This record gives sequence, C-alpha cells and structure tokens, in this order.
Amino acid sequence: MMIVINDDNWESQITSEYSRGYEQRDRQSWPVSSSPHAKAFDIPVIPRSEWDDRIDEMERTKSSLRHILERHRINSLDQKSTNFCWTFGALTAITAIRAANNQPHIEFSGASVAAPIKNYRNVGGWGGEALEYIVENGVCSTKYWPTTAISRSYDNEESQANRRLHKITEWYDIDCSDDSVFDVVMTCVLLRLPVAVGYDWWRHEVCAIYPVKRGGGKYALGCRNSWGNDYGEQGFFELEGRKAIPSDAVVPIVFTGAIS
Amino acid sequence: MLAVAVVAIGIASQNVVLPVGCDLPAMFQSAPISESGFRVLIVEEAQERVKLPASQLAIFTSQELTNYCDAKCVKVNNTPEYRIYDKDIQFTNESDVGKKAMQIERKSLPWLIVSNGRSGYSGPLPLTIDETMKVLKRYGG
Repeated sequence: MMIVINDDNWESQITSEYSRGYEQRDRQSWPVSSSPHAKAFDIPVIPRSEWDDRIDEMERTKSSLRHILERHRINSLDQKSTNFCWTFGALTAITAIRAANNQPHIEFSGASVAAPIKNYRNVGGWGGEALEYIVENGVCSTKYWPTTAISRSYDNEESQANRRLHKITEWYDIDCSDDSVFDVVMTCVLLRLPVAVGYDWWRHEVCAIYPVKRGGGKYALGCRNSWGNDYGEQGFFELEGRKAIPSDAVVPIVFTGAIS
Repeated sequence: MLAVAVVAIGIASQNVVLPVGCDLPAMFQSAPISESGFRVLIVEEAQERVKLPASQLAIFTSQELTNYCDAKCVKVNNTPEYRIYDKDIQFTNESDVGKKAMQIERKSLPWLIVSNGRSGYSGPLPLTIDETMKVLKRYGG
C-alpha cells in the first residue's frame, strides 16, 4: 500500500519501529560543495510549467527510475537495525543509476561504507559522507561484506579488491538553504537523476526517485526507503507538502562501469 | 564516390525513411562493433540532460526500448549488451566489447551505436522513441 507522508501525518513516522540514523549536517564544517569531490549543483532548474508534460511523458513511456527499478525487479535495500540510512540512501541512488545504465545488478553493502567511516560504531551520518567515501574507496558487493555487518573482519584483501571496482566519480551537492530546493530535487528526478535526501524532522535519509503529479499545481516526491520491500509499495513511498523539502541532498552522477 | 552511390541504391531499393536527427553517412555503414551479436550503446552527458527534449530523454529508460534490447541483445554474464553510459565513465570491470564501443568516434551527444556484427549505425540519437526503434529494428530485426 502506498504510504504518503505529509504535514498532517508525519508524526506517526518518527515513532515507527524502523531504524533511521540521519544526522543533521554540520554546515559550518561542511559547507555546500566543500567536500573534495563534490560539485555545486549547476543544472538549470526545469520550470514548473513543464513538469506536468514531462511527468505525463515519463508515465506514457514508463521511463522513470521507479519504472526501471521495477522492471529489473530490484528489491528495496534494508538497513535493518543499523543507523546507516545515510549510506543506504546513497546506495539506493547508485543502484538506480546502474539499473538505468543497464549494468548488471549488484547488491551493495551498506556496512562496507558506513562502518569504516564511523570506526565500526552503529551511528548516524549524512549522505555526502557516504558519497565521498565511495569516491575514494568504493563500495563492496554483499558477496564480500554482508550489508549490515559492522565488523572489521570483512575489511580484507578480497573485499578491498571488490570495492575498488565500484566507485563514484562525480557527485553534486545541493544547497538546501535555498528556497528552490524542492524544485531542484524535482528537476533531478525529472532528469532521471536519483537524489539521496536527508530530513531533519525525520532524522532519516531516503532516495528521491520519481516525480508525482497531484493536480492543481501540486507535486510530491516519490522516494524509496531502506526498510525492505514490506514498507510502502516495494519500498516506494511519497513525501508531499513541506515534508518533501529536504534538509540535505546529494546526487551521485557517474558511477564506474563494472559488470560484477 | 562509390560509397555515395551504394548509399543511394540502398535507400531507393529499401524505401528507408530516415529518422529525424540521423545523418545519412552515419546510418549506412559497416558494423561499428565487429563482434557478432546485436549490441546497443547510448553515450550521453548526464549533466547535460536538461538540454534534451523530453521525448529524447525518455528514450534512455523507456519500456519499449529496454524491453526490445532485453529480448534482442546478445547476453554476456546473463546481461543484455545494452548500455547507457556517461561520456566520462571510468571502466573497472566492463566487457572488452563494451570498452571498445566507448572508443568509437562521436561527433555529438547523445550518440547512438547499434551493431549486429555485420552492419549498424553510429550517429546522433534520434529525437523520439519511435525513431530510435526504427534504427534498432533495422539492425536487430
């Protein structure tokens, strides 16, 4: 069943039993695009006057990232009891990019990224930390590192060789202090660019995947969570109203070409 | 001159309607990829997608195109040899054929490469799914 989170029902979401872990980004220490490999978002925003037609085209041709993920039967990630949503949100974006590229599906390990960053503690973070780590070090397949295993024993020669195959080479850092941030994120998903979005009110990070038209000039953000397929529709759900405006947003653009 | 004459005969005898955006020399040529099997590659610049018409952007991930490619493309490691790659992609573990295809000369972006090992197309990506499908079906059946 589709879950829609909005300004009227959001409180029920922060008392749910699921783990989260997004930590409000320290903008003093991490100003926008200050990470070594991050670029400031410089794509022109698509005017709202074009959104309806573009969404209709996307629906008619079944060409959104959600359509692609469903066609490839790619499951929602599941962070289980970890506080690593900030990495799982980024990995959901990478998974969508690879699916759109028609690269073979690889299930990536959240813990192979988040655990080393946080010195093997089950604590929160924000998406840019995960992306920057994946630029430098890559991410492992779950064949070499179970996705929620917070253990140094998996950091071995095999897993290191595997993670080097899977790296981000370009990513955008979106300025969320700007009033237009919702329009920027909508522009991304209209362009089939998935966005890892963090929400201070929810203390949770998810991945924006597809645009939703509500009618009357209103729109929602179609996202995928990292709470497994049982949440929403195979992990997909929608954010609308002020609850759709992210506190932090990062966009992986290019991922290395690897068939395994 | 001989090549031009062959092109003209080909058009006349097969009554081909060129898709919008396809240039003539690109449409008729030997296989861009010499290995046997049907393969499709679209090379794009992800950061420039906003400049593309919505109808052209939809080609990349459309159900019609991806279903066709899933059915027709030769499979390597159980994956159809159909890719959409950013021009700046770095390969760490792609098939040799895929890597070679990325080195084919391109004059603009997005660029479409279609090959069945005997003949094919290497030229600008058409502007619509229908036009792109015509190119694909010409070489993929």
